[in-house]
Amino acid sequence: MNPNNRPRKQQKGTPGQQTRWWVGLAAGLILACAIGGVDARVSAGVDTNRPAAPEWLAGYQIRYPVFVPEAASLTAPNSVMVRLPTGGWLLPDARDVAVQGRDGRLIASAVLSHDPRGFTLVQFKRREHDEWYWIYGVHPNPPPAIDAGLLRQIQAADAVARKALTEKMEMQKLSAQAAEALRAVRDRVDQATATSNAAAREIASWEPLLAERQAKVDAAVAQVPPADAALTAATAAATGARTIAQERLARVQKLDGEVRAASNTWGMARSAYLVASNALAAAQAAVKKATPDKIGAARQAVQTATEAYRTSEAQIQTTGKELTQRTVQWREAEGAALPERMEATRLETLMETARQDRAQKAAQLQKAQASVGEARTARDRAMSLRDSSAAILTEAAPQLPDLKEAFEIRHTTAEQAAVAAQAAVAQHTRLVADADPRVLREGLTVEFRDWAGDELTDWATVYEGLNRSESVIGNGIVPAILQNFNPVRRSEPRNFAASYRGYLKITEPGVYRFLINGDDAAFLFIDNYKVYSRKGSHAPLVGRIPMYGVGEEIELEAGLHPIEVHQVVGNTPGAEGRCALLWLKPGASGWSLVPPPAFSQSLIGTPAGVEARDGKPVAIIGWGIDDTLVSDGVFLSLVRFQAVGSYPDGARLSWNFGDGLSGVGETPAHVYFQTGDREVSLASHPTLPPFKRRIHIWSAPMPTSPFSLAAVVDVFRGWNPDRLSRAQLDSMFAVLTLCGQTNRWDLQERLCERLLAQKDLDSQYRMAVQVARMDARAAGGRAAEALNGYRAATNEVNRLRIPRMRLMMEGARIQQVYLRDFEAAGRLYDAILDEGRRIRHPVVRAAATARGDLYWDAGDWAQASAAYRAAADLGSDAVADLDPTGADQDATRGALLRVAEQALKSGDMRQSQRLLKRIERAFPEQKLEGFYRFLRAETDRKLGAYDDAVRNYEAVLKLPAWSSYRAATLAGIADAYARAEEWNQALEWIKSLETGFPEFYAQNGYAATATRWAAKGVATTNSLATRLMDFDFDHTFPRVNENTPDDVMPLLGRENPGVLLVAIEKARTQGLRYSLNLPKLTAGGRIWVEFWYTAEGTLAPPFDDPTVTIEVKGDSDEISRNREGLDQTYGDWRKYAHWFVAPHSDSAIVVLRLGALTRGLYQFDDVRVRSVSDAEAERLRQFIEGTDPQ
Amino acid sequence: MKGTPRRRPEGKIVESANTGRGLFQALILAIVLGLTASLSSARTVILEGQEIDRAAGMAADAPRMGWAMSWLRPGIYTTALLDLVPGRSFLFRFPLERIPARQRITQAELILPVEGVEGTDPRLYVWRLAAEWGVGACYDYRKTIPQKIAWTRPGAGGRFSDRAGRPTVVARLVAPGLKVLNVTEDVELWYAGAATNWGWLLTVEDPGIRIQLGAPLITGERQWKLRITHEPE
Repeated sequence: MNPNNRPRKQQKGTPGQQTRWWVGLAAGLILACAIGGVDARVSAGVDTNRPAAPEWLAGYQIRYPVFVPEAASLTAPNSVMVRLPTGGWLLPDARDVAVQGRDGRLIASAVLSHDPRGFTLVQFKRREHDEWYWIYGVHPNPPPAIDAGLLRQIQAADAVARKALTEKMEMQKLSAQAAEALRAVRDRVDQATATSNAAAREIASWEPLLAERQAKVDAAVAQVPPADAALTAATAAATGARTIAQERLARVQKLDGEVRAASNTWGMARSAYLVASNALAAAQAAVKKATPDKIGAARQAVQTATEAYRTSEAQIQTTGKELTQRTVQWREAEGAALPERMEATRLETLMETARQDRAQKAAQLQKAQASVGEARTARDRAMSLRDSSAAILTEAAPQLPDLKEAFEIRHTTAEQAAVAAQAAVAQHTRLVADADPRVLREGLTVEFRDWAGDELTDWATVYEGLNRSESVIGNGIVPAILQNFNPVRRSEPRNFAASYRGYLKITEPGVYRFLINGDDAAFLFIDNYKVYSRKGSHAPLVGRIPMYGVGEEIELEAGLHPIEVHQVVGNTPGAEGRCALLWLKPGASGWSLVPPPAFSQSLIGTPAGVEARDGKPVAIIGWGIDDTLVSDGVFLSLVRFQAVGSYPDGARLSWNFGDGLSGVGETPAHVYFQTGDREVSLASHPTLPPFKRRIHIWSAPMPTSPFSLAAVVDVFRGWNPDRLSRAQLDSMFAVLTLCGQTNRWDLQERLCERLLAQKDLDSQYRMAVQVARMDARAAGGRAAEALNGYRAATNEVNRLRIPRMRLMMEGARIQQVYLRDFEAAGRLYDAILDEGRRIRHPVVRAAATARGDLYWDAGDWAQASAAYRAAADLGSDAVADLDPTGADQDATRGALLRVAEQALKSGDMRQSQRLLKRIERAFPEQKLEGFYRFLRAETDRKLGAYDDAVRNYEAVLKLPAWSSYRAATLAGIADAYARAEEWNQALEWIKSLETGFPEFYAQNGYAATATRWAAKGVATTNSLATRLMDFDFDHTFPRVNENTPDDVMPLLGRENPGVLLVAIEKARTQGLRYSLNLPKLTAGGRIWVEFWYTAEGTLAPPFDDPTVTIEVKGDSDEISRNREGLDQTYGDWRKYAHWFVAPHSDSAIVVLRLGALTRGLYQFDDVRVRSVSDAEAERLRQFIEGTDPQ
Repeated sequence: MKGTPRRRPEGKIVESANTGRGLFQALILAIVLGLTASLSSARTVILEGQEIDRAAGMAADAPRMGWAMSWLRPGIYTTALLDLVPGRSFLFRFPLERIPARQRITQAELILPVEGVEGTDPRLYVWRLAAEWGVGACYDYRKTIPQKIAWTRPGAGGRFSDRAGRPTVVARLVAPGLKVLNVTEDVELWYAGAATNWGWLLTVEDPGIRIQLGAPLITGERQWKLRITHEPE
């Protein structure tokens, strides 16, 4: 059970019960402290009853009973560390601390770290198997813990021991340096030897290869001359044959020319013959036709033609003979030339073959020669390497014996120094054995301080800065040196110093290399000797870290070595506050985190209560961030506090929350509006100063609870507005006007009154406050009074038209919604329209639309239609565009409607609603269309706005053109009433669906739905139980066998209804499983699961974070599952929370598994599973999205 | 009443007596003249970008810079372009002294040159600033001279204290261009003295959105303007 809402009865009970609860709380505060090499086990059989308390130590005002869970079963370690909540009670140096055993005797103790506004780390020697001790505090003049003479001896021995340790470390550093020099030379020699050997092997392999390849060259060389000779002979033969062939060819060509000439001559003679023949024929024909007087001439012409004919005939014969003769000669010559030409061709082929053969032989020779060249080059390179390696060996190898000797000398010296130092330390240890538990060399702590230094340039500067950094802001007992952020200021990882102090347990002597990987400067000291420095501003190394070149080496002997790590993160942008100590162990092949077993660990005690000497009430502060909500630039953090201690009446506890506000009670909740540190105080004891505690508010990465807004309003209700600062008033106003909670009205009215009394209120803000006050009054049933406020407010903004119109809108809304005076509302809307038409402001369009709604509700569709259409011409909120080239083309109404429909179908109701509202603003006349109304109704119904949904559904029913939607509309109305848990109405509408659309009714299984709704209606009086289910772990948590180490052991919390303590012994091997039934689920919707646990001890988790897996299983094996890291919020108490989709069944099972729990004691408190209604989810969504969602 | 026009059911205007005709005509004429005079008395004042008397850029990633508007590389910004993304915003103020006294503001339009928009459904928010700011204004401080004064929340994030409780305009931008935003409400408030003119804050609130505006001091067609229409009270 969350302490915020259920007081812990045991705190008011017997001291024993209080103690048990206290042990539980504190066990959770230091979870990680039990991680380590010890073999601790807390079994269910351990007697945890506190023994009778010893007599009070004189002078001390308070004491804390401390329980050491593992003391009964373990024989080692020898000391106990306790993280004691002392905030503000102790002296500045916390020397007023003393530890007492059950026998009443004092036990040597030491304060390891003291945070005046937080915890004090105390260490003391254990008394065998005693489980109970008492730590005292608050003494005005505490006695010295040690006798003065002994103190002087101890101081002297301490000085000797420190000096001896320093000398030892110097010797060991020299030894490490010698080892490094030896390693470097040895590495060089080894490398040269290896190189030389490899080169020799290579030379040896190349030599025979070279000879073999040379032989191939020789063979190839021998083949070249014969090829040359053959080529020469072939060339000569081919040349001779070619000459003869060419001569023959020349003759053939000459004869060919003569044949052509003869042919031409014959051709001309033939042409002349044909001409003469034709002329003769013509002359003869002319004789036949000639008249007697011309016959003579004709005959003469025949004579002449005949002569010509004969002459040409003779010529043709002569030239024909010549042609024949020449042709015969050409053929003879051609025939004679052919054999020579063929012979020449053959010989040329032979010559070409010989040439190719010669080229092949030359290529073979060249290849063989190249191969020899390669082999020779490789051999020469290997020889060169061999020679250079030999030179290195000649130079370095002789150094080895000297270096080896030097190392051995230094190593021996270091060993001797180590022995001397051990002796000196032993002497000191003997002296302080009973005076200072630190000599036991156990435990690892960290202390965080505000960094007050300047530079990070070197250790001297940082040391000076650390000395100035006196403000301790946190401390803890840790298992390893590892932080992934600033654990005490999660939201501000800069300007802090972390100092880790503990003892390194070396089991394997040798040379170790250390590296601190983190943000900015870091320094490592071992045995008071500075081993490693990282100066200046740096980001952490990422990726694979090289083995050498980073870090520093030191030789360490086996045993325990004091170790300190100082890390400083300056004002470095991007710093995350990381720090990790890594090492390279002897022989290791890579860096690794120095693991928890490498540190000497102590037992961890848990404060089990706080008591005042005078028996009066006394309490300290526990706290945790419940939720973080951000909206419209307003941040608010809901924080839970609880008083832990001995007090009979929680109502007398007085709190100061550090922001000017105060409260009373044992489990108050508070709201902070800003991140950062706050100093919270709790006054419980009449004379003791208030307990003070620094808390850090930050925006925890956690799902926001749908129930937090109601809790925030409850917190506000406890505040006195007169004590709030203006900033708080502003934030509160913003939250109240956005949260949508129905329990806020009276508070909102009071706040508005307070704000209106402010003189410097901006007029627009003032108007918003006026409107909020009117709203509150009207919602509170005082609508008439609200209207009075409206009139007064109107006078205030009379000269400002737009604010006045906004106010008139609000007045109209009150008239319409609360007074049902539609005429008056209409008049106001009309007045806005009359005045505002020229202004073109969106408020005017809104007034017109609202006017249309009024008409619509009155059934005057014509007027409504006119009003909607008129609204479309009034001031739009769309952006006008003056640029003709870049005109905004806003999405069309049809496109928006389609997108809205798709969003609705895909289940994105919020987006669908946003789009539909956007459509309504841009296109008011859309309200006249049934499809738009139907989509609005569907969206409103699923977002929990049931009234709006029903109104829109009814609008669809009124539109005859959309009768096809009638069945779905009836079903929607019925479902809206069912979701609103108005079962009778729901059943009436489902009945009308059955009557009107029996087929639709049957197809969609509404009969079963109606039956379920009827059953719900019977059980409606139990609706709260239906929706709110709180389960404490130990109600059903099984008591397990103590011999089953992998299970859970309910230990100290078993008598405490509300807290489960879990002892985990083996990191990551154990977990727990828990399941619970969820009956009577509301169909659909979602489920919210949250639980609280203590987690301060997870500071610097070295391994995987614990994980949580939650499954919600419905009746039909429908499962919603989530698995993630457990670490979510921050504070003493942390919260895990997640949403789940509710199964579509009437009941479900929630299964919760916690795994990878690191070793230690866990305290789990209050698993809460709630069904989240649509309206609750929607209110949260609206708050987060703010006044102007997309 | 004699001489007074009365409306018959059918809506026609008739004279009840002949003697009233002249008077009625004179009355109509006077009304028309009065209306005309009233309409013609509306005046427009255009304030240009060069008249902006203070401006600053605020960026969460450079919380002490007052000009961090366009990121170039780590630590280096320019103001050549107002590159608005979530966490980076711009403050500016137009002085309103050029509006004559005893006027009524009928319309005020802020004209901005939008040079680029990125993201789904980009929206530019215009907020009225509610706190004094000045020299050295940056993400952490609203002024640094003569002394540092921090915003209630960084980046002028305090509702009601640093900026108004709700945005004056949420401009949905689809494409670049010269955009006209209706800021009548703020200018009316300032002019009436109901709020001090500390100017406006331009922001982008939605993740994944980038809106780029031309620098306010450029001249020419794409310069910033505040166009105010007013008329005598």
